Amino acid sequence: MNMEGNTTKIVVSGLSCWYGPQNVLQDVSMEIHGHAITGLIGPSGCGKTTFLRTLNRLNDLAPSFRHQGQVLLDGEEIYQPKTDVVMVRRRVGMVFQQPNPFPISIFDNIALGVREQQPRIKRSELLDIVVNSLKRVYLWEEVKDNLQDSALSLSGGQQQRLCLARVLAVRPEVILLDEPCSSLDPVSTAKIEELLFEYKDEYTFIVVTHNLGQARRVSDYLGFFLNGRLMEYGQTVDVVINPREKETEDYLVGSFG
Amino acid sequence: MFKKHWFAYAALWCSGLITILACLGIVLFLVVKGAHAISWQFLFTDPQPSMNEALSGGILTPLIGTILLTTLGIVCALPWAGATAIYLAEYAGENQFVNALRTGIDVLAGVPTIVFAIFGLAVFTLPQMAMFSTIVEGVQNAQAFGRSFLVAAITMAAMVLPFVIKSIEEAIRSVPPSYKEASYALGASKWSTISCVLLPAARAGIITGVILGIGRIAGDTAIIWLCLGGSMNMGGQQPWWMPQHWVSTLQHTGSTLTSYVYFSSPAGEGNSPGKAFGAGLVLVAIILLLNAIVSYLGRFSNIKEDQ
Amino acid sequence: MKKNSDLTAALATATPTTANTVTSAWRLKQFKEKAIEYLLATFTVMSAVLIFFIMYFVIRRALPVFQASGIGFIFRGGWDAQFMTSWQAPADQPSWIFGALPLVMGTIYTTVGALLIAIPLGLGCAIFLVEMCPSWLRVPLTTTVRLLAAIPSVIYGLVGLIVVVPVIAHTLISNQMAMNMIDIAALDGTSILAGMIVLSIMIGPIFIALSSDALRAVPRSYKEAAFALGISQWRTILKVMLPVARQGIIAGAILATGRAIGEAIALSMVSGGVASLPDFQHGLVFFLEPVRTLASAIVNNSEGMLVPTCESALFACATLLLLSSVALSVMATWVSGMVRKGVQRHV
Repeated sequence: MNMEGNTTKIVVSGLSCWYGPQNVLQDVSMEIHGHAITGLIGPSGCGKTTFLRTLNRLNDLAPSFRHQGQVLLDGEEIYQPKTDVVMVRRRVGMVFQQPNPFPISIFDNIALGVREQQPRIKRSELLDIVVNSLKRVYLWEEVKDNLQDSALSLSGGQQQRLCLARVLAVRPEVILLDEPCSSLDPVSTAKIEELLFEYKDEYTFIVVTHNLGQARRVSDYLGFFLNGRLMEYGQTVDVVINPREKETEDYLVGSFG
Repeated sequence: MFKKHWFAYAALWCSGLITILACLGIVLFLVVKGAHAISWQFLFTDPQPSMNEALSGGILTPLIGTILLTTLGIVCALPWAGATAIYLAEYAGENQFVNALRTGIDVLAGVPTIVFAIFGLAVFTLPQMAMFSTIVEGVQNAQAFGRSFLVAAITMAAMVLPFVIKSIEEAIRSVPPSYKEASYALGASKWSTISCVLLPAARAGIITGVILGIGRIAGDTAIIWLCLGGSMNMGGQQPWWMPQHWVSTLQHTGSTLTSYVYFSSPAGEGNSPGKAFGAGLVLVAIILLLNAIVSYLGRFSNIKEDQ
Repeated sequence: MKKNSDLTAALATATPTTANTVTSAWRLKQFKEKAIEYLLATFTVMSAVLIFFIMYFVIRRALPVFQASGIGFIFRGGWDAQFMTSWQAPADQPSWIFGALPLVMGTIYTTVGALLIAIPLGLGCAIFLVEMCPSWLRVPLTTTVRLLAAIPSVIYGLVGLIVVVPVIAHTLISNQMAMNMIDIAALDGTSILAGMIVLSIMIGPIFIALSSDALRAVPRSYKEAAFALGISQWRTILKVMLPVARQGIIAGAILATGRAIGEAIALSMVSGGVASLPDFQHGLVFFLEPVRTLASAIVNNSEGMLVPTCESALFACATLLLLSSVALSVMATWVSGMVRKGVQRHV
């Protein structure tokens, strides 16, 4: 893992979030490094998913959401009034916990996002992008004869890889993954983890995970959330072997989950 | 941020606003045109046939007609609809036959009320049905007149049937299963469970269904026009409000608010448009009141309970 | 909690206090249960076959006219004249031949016209309600839609007659136009246009209610996935939500159509007293010509019920209405059945 020369992609400072009266995140500050995998761990309800969704402004969909603090993408605040939310979300993509391909064909699932981005794209170029995306997630061999089949006919693991391909096709800079493997079998999980390793140099990954083993395996940096606070953050090696906070150690050991 | 698709967003906003304006427009128009006609005298005088609007009386008879008809109609509909709803919710399974039954009932909901009206007429003009109305004298084949409160009420009951069935069935289905299970576990029979536990628990939903049915009956004109006649006053032996004449009143024609509105408008005799608006306002007020009650009762409904 | 004590009381009433053993009392009870079940089943079957009763009685009375006029009932015209002659004909020379083409076309014109207005506007309103409505406006708008659906048709007819018809008469119909058309029909404002406008306001709310239900049923995960891909709200609605909600929206449109076809009272008040066949060759004046539909004819020609021939003709109109509404209902049930079965289906 090469830590030299990594730029800072996202800077979060003093972030607090509320859903109505409920304070979900308190004063979170962290610097997310580019071209690396950052893992976020913590027990259920600790705010890590909320944190993730703040990074691509998906929390805007919740009507009672309110936040305070700064979120900078490449030095620019993404919550300014003049920010183009659509652009932010193109640069910061997301894969969800439950695979959610659209109920259309495999081809169209990937083509939809691309066509929205480049309305006048030629059919041949579009085909190239779709094939390329499917190849990158190692789905091509499995579906190349069935591109027009419904995406819902794929298995869970295949659907999740399709969702990743769908995100890759619009060429984001950052990819957020919210417990992407929690509904998958171990084989599919391993495949997804391999993909993260493989494309680490091209993208910045932020992965929320419930699985401590996965966090240790996959991430370069690790952040531990508890009750809405970022308790500890640093290189995975350091956090795992030498946790500074007692709560971190307790969680890693499994005293609570 | 919206710049790119501003036209679409603007169009959507417009659709919403147009809808609100249409509704407000209609209600306000009614209020403006009809409010001045409303007075105690208006509500409690019988209509008088007259070319002069000032002398044409009030809406007492039609108002009573509406109340009478809706009561009769819902009394006919409720046992029938209730029995069907209970059977569908509690006894029927999920097989082809039951689906066919449900389709038969659903199709009924789409039949226009004018067709119900003419069906009512077809049935109740049969000589065998003369008890529901009167016999027409001196016609080649003796026919029943086929128009009366009874005829209209029964036809209304048929018209409103699918809607009341659906409401009551939903109400029964939304009772938490734990109520039923507790009752069975204590050894109660099926019917006891239904009558003593389920139906009381589904009370709010059943009342909602009844009120919705009343609203539909009160607002329908087509069945009134064909099955009750367009006359302004009660047929039957006068004075109609004396108990010994009640059966006669039910067997004869009469009027309701809806037929009064139609009759008084330019489409009917057209002599008293102001009164038409007044009656229309009273009618809409009644219906708004019924809907408000339904909304209020919605709070007690089981349907929104989270299990 | 009140609910618990209610339940306890109810259970106390429901459950017997003596033990259930195989006694004659128990057998009587079983008999009673079975009897009740059969009684309820009887009512249910009665409800389900009512539609067949309706078809039997209506078609039976309509048969003489169908037998005499054949398929020409639908395809030939002359309704007004025929009605007049039949009404005046002596009892031993009845005339059973009627041509209801003007009525059929009138029904089609007003229905299609109303749909052309109500569906785009209604869909827009439904999308607005589900996706873009600010929370302070949501309850007023939903209440408004519900109220519009509850207003009786005679009120729509009344307001249409007092507002829409004179506006059309004064702004769109010039004296010259009326003079030109005097041989064909009297242009007094009651017209296809008035019928279309009033009808569209009447069927709009049903369509809005069903479409917004269909849109609300679109799984949230699709919306989130689309947003996360950087697709704007409008494009998400257009490309993701509408296709998924398509079947529910179509079911709504079918139901709205059924309502439009069957509307009798409001149209009898605003669309005209003449059963003429509006002619496209008259250009835009087409919209200003009076028209009568199958349903409004039954109301407007209801004095014909006194004469067997005319009565049969009216029943024939009712038959056409009945059959088309049954067909539409079956279609709508079939479409929405497909919606009910699959939470996720390929679009």
